[in-house]
Amino acid sequence: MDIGKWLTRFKAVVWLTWKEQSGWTKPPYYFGYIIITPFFQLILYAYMYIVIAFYSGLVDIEMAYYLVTGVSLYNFIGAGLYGLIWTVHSEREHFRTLKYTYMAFPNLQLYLLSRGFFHYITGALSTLVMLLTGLILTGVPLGTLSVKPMLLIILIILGFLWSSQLGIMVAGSSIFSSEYGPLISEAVGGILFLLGAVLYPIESLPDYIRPFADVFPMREWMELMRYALNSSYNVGDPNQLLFQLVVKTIIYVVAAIIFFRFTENLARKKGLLEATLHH
Amino acid sequence: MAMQTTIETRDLVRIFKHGDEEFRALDKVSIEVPEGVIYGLLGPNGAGKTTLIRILTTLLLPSDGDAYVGGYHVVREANKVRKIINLVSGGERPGYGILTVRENLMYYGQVYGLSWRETKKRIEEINELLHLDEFLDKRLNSISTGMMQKYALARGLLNHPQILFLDEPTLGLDVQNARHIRRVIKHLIEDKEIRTILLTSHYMAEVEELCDIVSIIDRGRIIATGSPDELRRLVKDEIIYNIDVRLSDIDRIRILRRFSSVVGYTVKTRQLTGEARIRMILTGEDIARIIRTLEEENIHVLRVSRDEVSLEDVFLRLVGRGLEDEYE
Repeated sequence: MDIGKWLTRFKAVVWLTWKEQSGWTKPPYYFGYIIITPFFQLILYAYMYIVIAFYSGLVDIEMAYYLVTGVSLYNFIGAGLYGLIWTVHSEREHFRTLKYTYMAFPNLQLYLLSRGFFHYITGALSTLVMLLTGLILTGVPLGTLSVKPMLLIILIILGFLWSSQLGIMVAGSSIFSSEYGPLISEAVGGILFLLGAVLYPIESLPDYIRPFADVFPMREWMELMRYALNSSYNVGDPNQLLFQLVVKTIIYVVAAIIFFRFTENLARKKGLLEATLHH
Repeated sequence: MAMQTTIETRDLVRIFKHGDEEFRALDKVSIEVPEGVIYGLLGPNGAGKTTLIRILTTLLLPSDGDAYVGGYHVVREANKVRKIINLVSGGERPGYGILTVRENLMYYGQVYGLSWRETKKRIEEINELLHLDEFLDKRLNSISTGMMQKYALARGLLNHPQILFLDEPTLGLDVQNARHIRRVIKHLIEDKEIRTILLTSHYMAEVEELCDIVSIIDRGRIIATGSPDELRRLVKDEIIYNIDVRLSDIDRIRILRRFSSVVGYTVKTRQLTGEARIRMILTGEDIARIIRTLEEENIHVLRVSRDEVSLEDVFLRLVGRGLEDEYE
C-alpha cells in the first residue's frame, strides 16, 4: 500500500469538505457559524439549569458539570456522524459525483471516513468552546478540574472510531434511500442524544429501554470523557468501563467493514450508486 | 499479429426488477473490443448501451454472464478494473459547483493518487489538448453545457486511463462543440493517449465518423458487429432514396407500407422549412411507381434523390425501425 498516495487522497478529500462547507463565506465567519449553532443549544440548557437552581435554591455543581459536558461532548460525536452520513446523499443527489468518486477513490468506506474527518475537527473545535463557556456560565470552578490528557486523547480516538463506524453503517443503509438519507442521519443522532447519557444517566431510563442504550458505546465514552476531564467524577471502575468501550469499538469496526461491503455490493447489484430523485 | 482484446463480454445479461415486472436490459451480450480502436455501440435510447457501460465500469453488477476489462473480471477484480479506466457521460452536470473547474480537476487528480505537482502538470497537458483556458478558473456551476462536457472529458483523462468509456459524449451539445469533442476523441486514439475507447451513441454520424468497429444494439441484444463499411455492406442489395414532402402530408405516408419492395423508412421533420424527409430502403427499382402512388394520394413530392448507405439504414434494415423512433 502506497501511504503517500493515501495521504494525498486524504488531504484532497478533507480540503474538498472544507471548501464545500465554508465556500459560501469567509473563514472567520464560517468558524463563527460552526460555534454559534451548538453554542445556543448549550445556552438553552445552561439557562434551564440556572432557572431551576434559582427557583429551587439548590445549586448542584455536579449536575451542572454533567449537563454541560454532555451537551458539549455530544456535539463532537453528532457533528462528525451527521457530516459523514450526509456525504452519500450530497454526493449522489446534489453533486452527482458518487459514481465518479466510487471509480476514482479505491475504497468508498475510507472515502466516507475522510469526508467525515473534517466534521469531527469542526465538532471538536465547537465542543472545546462550548465546554469552557458552559462550565463558566454554570459556575463550575475550572480550578477543581483535573484533566487526564492521555486518557482524553485515547477517548477522542475511540470516539472518532466507534461513531464513524456507526456512521459508515448508517451511510451504507442510506444508499438505498434517495429520499430519506438525511432523515436517517438525524434519527441516529437523536437516538444517541436520548440514549447516550448526554442529559441524564442511563439508569434513569425505563428498564425496557436500557438494553437499547447498551447497544451503543456512547454511554461508556461519555462517562469516561467526564472522568478524563475531572478525575473526581465518579464512574465506578474506569478500567472496566474503558474495557467495555474498547470491546464495543472493535465490534463496531468489524461490523462496519462487513456491513458496508454488503451494502456496497447490494447497491451495485441494484444499480443505486447513481440513483437520484432529480430534485 | 493479432490485436489483444481489452474488453470482452460473454453472454452478459442484466435484468431490472420493478415489483413483479422484469425488464431485460441486456440479453446475452457478447462483444470483443481489440486494443487501439474506438469501438462504438449504436442504438436508440433504452437499447442497453448505458447499462453495458455501467457494468463495464463496475457501477452495476450483471445478472448473468461474464465481463472482462483489461483482462480483469468486472465483478471479482473491480478495484483493478477501476485503476485502468475512466468514464465520461454526456448530458450530465456532475461536480462541485462551488469550486472552479481547475479546483475540481485538482481534487480528482489527487483522489486518483497523483501528487499535487503531478496533477497540476497533468491539467496543463489536458489544457493543451482541450483548450480549457477560457473557463478553467470559473466556478463549475457557472459554465455552459459545452464547457461542462469539455470539463467532463478533462476529468476522464486525469488518471491516464488505458480504456476510456464515453457514454453519449456529445449529447445536448451544439454542432461546434460536438465537432470539437469528436476531434479530441479521434486525437486521443491516434496519439495513443488512450489505448481503447468504447463509445455509445445514438447519433449515427458520430459513430460513422469515429468508430473503427461498431456494434448495433437494440432491446438489449447485439444485432450486428463490424466496421462501418462491413455493416454498410449488409444493405448492399438495396437502394436508398430520400423523398422530401410537405410536412402537412406526413400523416398519409403510411401508404408506403403497401409496397413489398419498401424494406423500411424513417421520417425526419424540419419544422423551419415545413418539410419532411422520408428516407427509404428499397429492394428494387420501384421508385417511379411509389412516387406516382404518393401523388395520387395528394402527397406533394418536393424532391427525390438517391443516397449512399449509412449506418442508420443498416439499423433500419436490421431492426425494422429508425434510430430515433421511440419504442411502441
